Amino acid sequence: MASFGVEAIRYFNHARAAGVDTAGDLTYTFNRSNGLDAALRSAGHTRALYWANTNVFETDLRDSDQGGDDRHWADDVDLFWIETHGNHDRAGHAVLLYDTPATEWHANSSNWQLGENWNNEWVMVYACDTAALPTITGLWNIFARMHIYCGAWDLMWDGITTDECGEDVGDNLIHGDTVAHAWIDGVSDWWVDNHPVAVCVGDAATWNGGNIRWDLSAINRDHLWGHGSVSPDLAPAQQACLLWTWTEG
Amino acid sequence: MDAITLAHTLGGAHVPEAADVILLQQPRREQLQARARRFIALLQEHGDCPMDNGSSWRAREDQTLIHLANGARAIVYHASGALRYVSGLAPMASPFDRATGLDELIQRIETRALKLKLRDWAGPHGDLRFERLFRRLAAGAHQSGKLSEVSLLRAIGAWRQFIGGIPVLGAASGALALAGSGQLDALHVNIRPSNGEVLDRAPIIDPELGARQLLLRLASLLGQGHDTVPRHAIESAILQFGYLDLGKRKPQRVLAPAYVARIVLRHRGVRQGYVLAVAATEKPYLELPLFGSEAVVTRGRTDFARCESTGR
Repeated sequence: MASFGVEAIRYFNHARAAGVDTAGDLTYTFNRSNGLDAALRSAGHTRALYWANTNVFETDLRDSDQGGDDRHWADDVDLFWIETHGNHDRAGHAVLLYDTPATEWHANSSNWQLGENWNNEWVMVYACDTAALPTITGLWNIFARMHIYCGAWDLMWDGITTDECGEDVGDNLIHGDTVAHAWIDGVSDWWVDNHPVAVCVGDAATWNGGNIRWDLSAINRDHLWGHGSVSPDLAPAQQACLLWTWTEG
Repeated sequence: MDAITLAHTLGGAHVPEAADVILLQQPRREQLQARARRFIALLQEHGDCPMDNGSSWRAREDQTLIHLANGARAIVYHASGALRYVSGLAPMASPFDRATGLDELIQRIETRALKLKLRDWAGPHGDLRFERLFRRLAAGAHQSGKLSEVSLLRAIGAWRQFIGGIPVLGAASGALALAGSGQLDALHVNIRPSNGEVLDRAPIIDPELGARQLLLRLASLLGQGHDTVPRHAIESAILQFGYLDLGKRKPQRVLAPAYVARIVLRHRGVRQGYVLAVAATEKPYLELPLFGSEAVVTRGRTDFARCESTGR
């Protein structure tokens, strides 16, 4: 079975007061994170951490070799879910906003290296704009044996009609959907146009000279532990391509 | 942005002076199971669901999960009667021909929906209208920088239920996903059972008043105490009038008129899309809280190093 971690930020009053950003509070954050948590636990998976609001630190994702502590948090669970405000920088690195500077107000995926010698397979980020399609290869450095990054290539909506997204993702995972499909289908209500994208790395055989063998990809093969197959880890030296799937309306 | 400006985003949408408050049925468990059987039988009748007399039914508190042959499954949600079918087809299998155009995709989807009698789920008192096409795509990049062609994997059509000409807002009332081979990959029906019984006829408040309430909510999220939001912070805004479905996992006694705003804000470093709703009637028939649940774990990090030992 899988271990998972949940981090979710609803209030951003400290970030506003400090002049870091004008970002508003979110509304149904915990319906989504609680929903994922409940669905996974109902199937016997283990919650290793659940931090909320100012207890969520950017160092939880930052690599331990770069001043962070991911080996005890994001990189110490199989599946890591976080909800906050997001964006990306010009190089395509994901940027996340926090409500406490521990140690920075923002996370930047340029200093993430997940899956390394530790544990993480999948990261899910319910936040806007963390994986913009034109610069999506800027996420490549985070794949240090991690399998799939699930994010958004544009807006993700917060409100009374997207409150079940977390539970939908969780239900999909425990019902045997692939991780990538569980994310894309789970956060889509086919109305407000969320923009989910799932990103993975592939080897040379998967790239296949540009005629991609999608059947070999983690996007097609990875299920939550206990609910189907999981593709083997790919060390950076084995990685030949970055693959992604997304929805648009 | 002020209330007048937001109200104008209704455009030509008709807001009546009064609207019916529709009573919804609260089906018992056996009625929900019958609904699920009808759903599966309809799919099987048209070859869109594997024939399986030995399917297994597993009831949870909130849903009944039906495992079908070949990895397919169906779900009926107890609170709403919403239905879902998932084929179990591998997500990257069976792409479309790259040359398939949008019009052709819509035509294929509408033809399949017609065959499956999707509109029948809206009942005699409602209508179901095609609203939007979504596509699931895939691509890749080699480490040399070379990009692959884009693959079209699924076409997803979304429909909206209307009652008396008023849309039922929220998640799509119907959604149908097709694979390139023409196989049905998924079908969602988010339509609550109703026999059209009217609980009340309620006067509708002015759109500007609804917009003002919505902007007050938005301003409170930004830590402000007034009903205007700086114009430069608004990337886009759209106000809609309709009934509001609260979601497939939530019980709901009535469909009541509401104003729903979809507002995108551009902050200093991030953007955010909000869906905000307020009652469009003076008398509230549904609770529409601005904030949802609290976190299930609220202790501070200094209290425990890990929540594993006490969080379950």
